[in-house]
Amino acid sequence: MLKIWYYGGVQYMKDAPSYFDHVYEDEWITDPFVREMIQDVDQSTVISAHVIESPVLGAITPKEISGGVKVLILMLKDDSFVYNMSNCGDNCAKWILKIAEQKDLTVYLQHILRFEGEFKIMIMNTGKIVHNRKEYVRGLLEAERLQEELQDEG
Amino acid sequence: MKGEYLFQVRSKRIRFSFRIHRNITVIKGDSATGKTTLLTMMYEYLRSGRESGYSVNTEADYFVYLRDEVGRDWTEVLFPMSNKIIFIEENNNFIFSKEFAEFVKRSGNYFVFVNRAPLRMLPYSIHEVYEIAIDGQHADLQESWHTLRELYSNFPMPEYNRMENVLTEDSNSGFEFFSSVFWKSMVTSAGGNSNIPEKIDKTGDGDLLVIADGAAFGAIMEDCIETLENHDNKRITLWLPESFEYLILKSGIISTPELDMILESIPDYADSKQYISWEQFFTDLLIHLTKDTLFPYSKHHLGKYYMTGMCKQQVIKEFPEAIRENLL
Repeated sequence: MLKIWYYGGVQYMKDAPSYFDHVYEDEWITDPFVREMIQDVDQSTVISAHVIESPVLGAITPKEISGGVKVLILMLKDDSFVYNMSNCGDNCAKWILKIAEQKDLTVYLQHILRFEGEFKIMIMNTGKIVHNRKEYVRGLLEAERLQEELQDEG
Repeated sequence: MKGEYLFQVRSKRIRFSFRIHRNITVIKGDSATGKTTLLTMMYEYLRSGRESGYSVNTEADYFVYLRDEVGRDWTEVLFPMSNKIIFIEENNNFIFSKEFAEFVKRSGNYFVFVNRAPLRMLPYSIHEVYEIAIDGQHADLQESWHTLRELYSNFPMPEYNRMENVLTEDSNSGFEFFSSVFWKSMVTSAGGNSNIPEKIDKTGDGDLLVIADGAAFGAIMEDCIETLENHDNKRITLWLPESFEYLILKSGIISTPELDMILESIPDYADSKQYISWEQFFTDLLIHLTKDTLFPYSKHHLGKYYMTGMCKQQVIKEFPEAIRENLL
């Protein structure tokens, strides 16, 4: 299940794209699921562990893929940190849900990322589980108000 | 700092062309649209000029802040800067701090943030929130052309909104004016723009028109749009003119050659060292232009002159057509 901390409540990785550059492994890039994410979000084709064909930039290395996809790969492959989902655009949302089908995934969020359809997400600040877009937005705004109250008290 | 600045950033494969209009600009949007590529190209050109293999054409003096360097934090790098357009890459969390907001307000520099999270401590315009888009007009097989596209230019306009309720950001002069004009509606004040999403949720039955100052509503826009989309049992629409004072200035109630010149070229007059947002600039301008007249403007209380039928009609002409029709 996807578990979201909205605007606070958890320590998170501040610069995941830079971290990715130093820790990624060749096997991560050639994983069929990762290939599919890179193709879908970056419109780029994994040729080998070291070469990716981008329609705009030409042949690039894994260090030049988008920050959003780097964070998706880290969410899938490296559980050392809680990652900031606000590094991801709306075009990453369906992949985050797919990763969260495979394992419990706890993330931090600072904006309203657009999830579509039915899903199961826990808003960690309030402990509420939301199942669709309407509940999700209400849940985030409620968490935001709670966070502001906590900051005011602090 | 004043003015608008064109940037043309280019490599052999990719070209970005965009214009910076105000002191605070935000670039967000989908992953893989080229945000980091743009900033990296600009940074490398700043570092080694033509030897970077990139070109950056602009009349602006600019700087790119990618991340903190060892032993130097943002304050040491940015505090000495003036009259620059400072681009700041994602993941620099100092941009959410009170200290940074204070710096933006007093420094007078222009800032361009690559960042998806709202910058709640800064008043920026809904018109200066962008995504990077492919520029279809210049499609080319050899070179990919990109530009900045406004994200919130197409927010819903109030067609078919019966406006049983009107929610205003203003609580003083603007509220007095809109209460008088929308006399058939239940008009309430949100008491500040950050309260608007919550107030939308709490407004009773009937359609709702929300009026807020677009010049300083950028950080609230996302929460607001998401809240609107959550109400499917009534029509809720946003009307975000620059500000109430801007409507008065545009209406022709006050007519001077100086004002005409300013309104034609606002970026050349709204000095960011003096005004953190155009909202403040318009308020100050209106106060300045009316101070020695029989109808001095005050933000706290609207003088009788502005509530006369003639003035109201003039300002209403600046309303969107769909709202004017509903007032008839």
